[in-house]
Amino acid sequence: MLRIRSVRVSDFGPFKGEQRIDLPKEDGVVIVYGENMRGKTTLLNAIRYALFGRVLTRGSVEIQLHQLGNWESAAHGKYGFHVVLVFEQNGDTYELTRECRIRPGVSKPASNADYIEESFLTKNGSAMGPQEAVLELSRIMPETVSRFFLFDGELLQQYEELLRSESEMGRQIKEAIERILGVPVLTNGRADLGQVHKQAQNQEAKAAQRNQKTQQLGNLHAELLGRREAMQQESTRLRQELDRLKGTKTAKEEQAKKQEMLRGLLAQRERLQEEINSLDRKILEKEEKRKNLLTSSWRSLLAPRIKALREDVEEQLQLLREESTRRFVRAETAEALRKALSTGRCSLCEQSISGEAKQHLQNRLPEFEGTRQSVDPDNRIPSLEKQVSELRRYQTDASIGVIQEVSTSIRDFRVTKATSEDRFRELKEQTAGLDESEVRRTYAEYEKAVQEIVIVENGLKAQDAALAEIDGNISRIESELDKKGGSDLQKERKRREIAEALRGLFEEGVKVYRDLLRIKVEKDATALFLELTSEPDYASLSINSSYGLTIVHNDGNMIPVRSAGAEHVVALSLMGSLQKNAPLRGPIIMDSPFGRLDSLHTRRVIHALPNMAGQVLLFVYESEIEPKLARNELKGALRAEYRIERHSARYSKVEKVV
Amino acid sequence: MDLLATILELRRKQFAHLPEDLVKDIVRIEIDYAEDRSEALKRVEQALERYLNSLPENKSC
Repeated sequence: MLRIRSVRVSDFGPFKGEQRIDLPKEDGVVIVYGENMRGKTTLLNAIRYALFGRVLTRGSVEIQLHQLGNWESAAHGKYGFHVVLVFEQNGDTYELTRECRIRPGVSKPASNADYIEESFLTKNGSAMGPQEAVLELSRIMPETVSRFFLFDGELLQQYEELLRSESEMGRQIKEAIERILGVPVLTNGRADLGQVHKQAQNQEAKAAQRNQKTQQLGNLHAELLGRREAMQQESTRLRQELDRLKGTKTAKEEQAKKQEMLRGLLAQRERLQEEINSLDRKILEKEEKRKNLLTSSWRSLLAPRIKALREDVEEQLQLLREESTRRFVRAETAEALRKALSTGRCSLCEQSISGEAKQHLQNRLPEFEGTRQSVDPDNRIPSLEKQVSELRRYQTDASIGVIQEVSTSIRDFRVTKATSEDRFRELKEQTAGLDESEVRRTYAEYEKAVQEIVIVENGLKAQDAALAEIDGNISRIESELDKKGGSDLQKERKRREIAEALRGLFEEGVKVYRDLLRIKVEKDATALFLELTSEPDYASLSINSSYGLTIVHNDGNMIPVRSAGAEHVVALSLMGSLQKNAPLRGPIIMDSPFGRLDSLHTRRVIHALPNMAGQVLLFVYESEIEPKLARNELKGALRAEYRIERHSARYSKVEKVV
Repeated sequence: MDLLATILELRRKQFAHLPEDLVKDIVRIEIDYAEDRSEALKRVEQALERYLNSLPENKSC
């Protein structure tokens, strides 16, 4: 187990001159108190810098070396800094020094190029060679798993990604978790033994080719192995391509998320543009209508007179039509009377007419025949109808009211258009600095990646099927060789068989070990979680295939969404569990991890700290953990306390609390 | 969680014909050379070769 014994920093960040923190040999917690901007994160970074040669900001961006030195020292012309880390691992004591010196000839450094960086590692007092030191350090503390030893609240928040199956960050964290748990020992073993097995097969084929009895089989074996090798290379290429495409898809997805707001603005802008175009069309239509109305508007001035004239003619027409009807009826009646008088019979009932009746009819006949002499009204009707029709043609709907109505619509449309144009201009300004083509490109690239993934996956399926077939053929040839081969092939066969079985063992081992790890991590994380949480209704944590943990309620239901505070408690439970189950163990060094926890959870976490790791180093501000609370909760497990004191804005000093 | 114990248990149950020492050697190599992949492969090859040479039928007189 890695245990840090001391950290010494010199002219690093706000720490002017040399400052040191000693950590006791015994298990327990060391707390360094410091208010904001005093240098807590810098101390975490100093440890990171010593171990890995680089420092990251909170957003995981690498900080330039020339930004790491102490500003007050630099103001006095003293540039450069160093960090010395003393630690123990498996009974050996190491001293790691990493320093940055100004390059000769440079008076005022402005970039990394103006510095020379060197590191030295001693093991039990003896200096190690540079390459040996790098290898030793990567064995003691690989950077890929540093997230489990050196972290802050933001890093804890990232563990939520493990619950998202397609998250790239989740995939990276899962890899790191498996690494700290030792899974690569088996996956690397599986890969190496696969390689050894392939070599053994080739050696066996060559040996078979050398023997006349097995030459033919040997040739066939060698040919199949060659073909399989080419196919495997193609499979590997396709898998790499698939990984690349999945990476692109995830990256584009994440990029698209960031561009979400921009996309919203652009969509709004497009909608407004369409709205403005539509309003333009409507205004044009209405203007055309108004133009037509105005062209015939003079008619509206004559409208009352035309109307009166038309009504007068219509009245005459009506009278003439009535007269025409009357004349027709009279003529028909006279004709009927004449017929009755001449035949002596009634034309309707066909009865004989008496003399008296005849006389009566004769007397009435002039009454109906009198119309023959008057003017025929039917002669005038067509001319009057023509007049009415002409007068109607001059009627118009271009009344002032209609024109006003159209004009009002045009004005309303123009007002709406002006408002839309104003908002459009505003949006254009907001999106001016943004590359809209990039947003569209992101989506196009995302779509393209999705389509290509399907194609490559189909290709891989076909490739895997072909590989399975060729593997079957190789196995058959090898069985034949087993039967026909002599003692000259014995060792080669044995090598091949052992390598194949070993590869099978490691392959199975990966599955079994992963399953066991998940069970163990879930169990230990649950135990720690129940110790940390103040919610009595929470029963356990449930692990997924990526080591993501979900809270399980007493009623058996999963809690799908959790607060930032709950996320920290779950993440700390995972940390503690990983520390317990990892072959690689070390200190937990946390920077301000309690910011999102309430006082009850903070107290519980402090209480549980000694169970999470052998050595715990905390960088906190006093309102995050009150010293009195820490002392009460930790009691003897609190091994030392330090305080970062302010001397100036650019000068902090680490003091031991007595 | 003992990684070696897991793999040895699996050997015992499903791959009993594989020599325990060879399996232990390979696990140890992969632990020690996790950061140096080509060295790990070389050493695995050597471990297998040593085992094959130690077999009675392959020992030279």
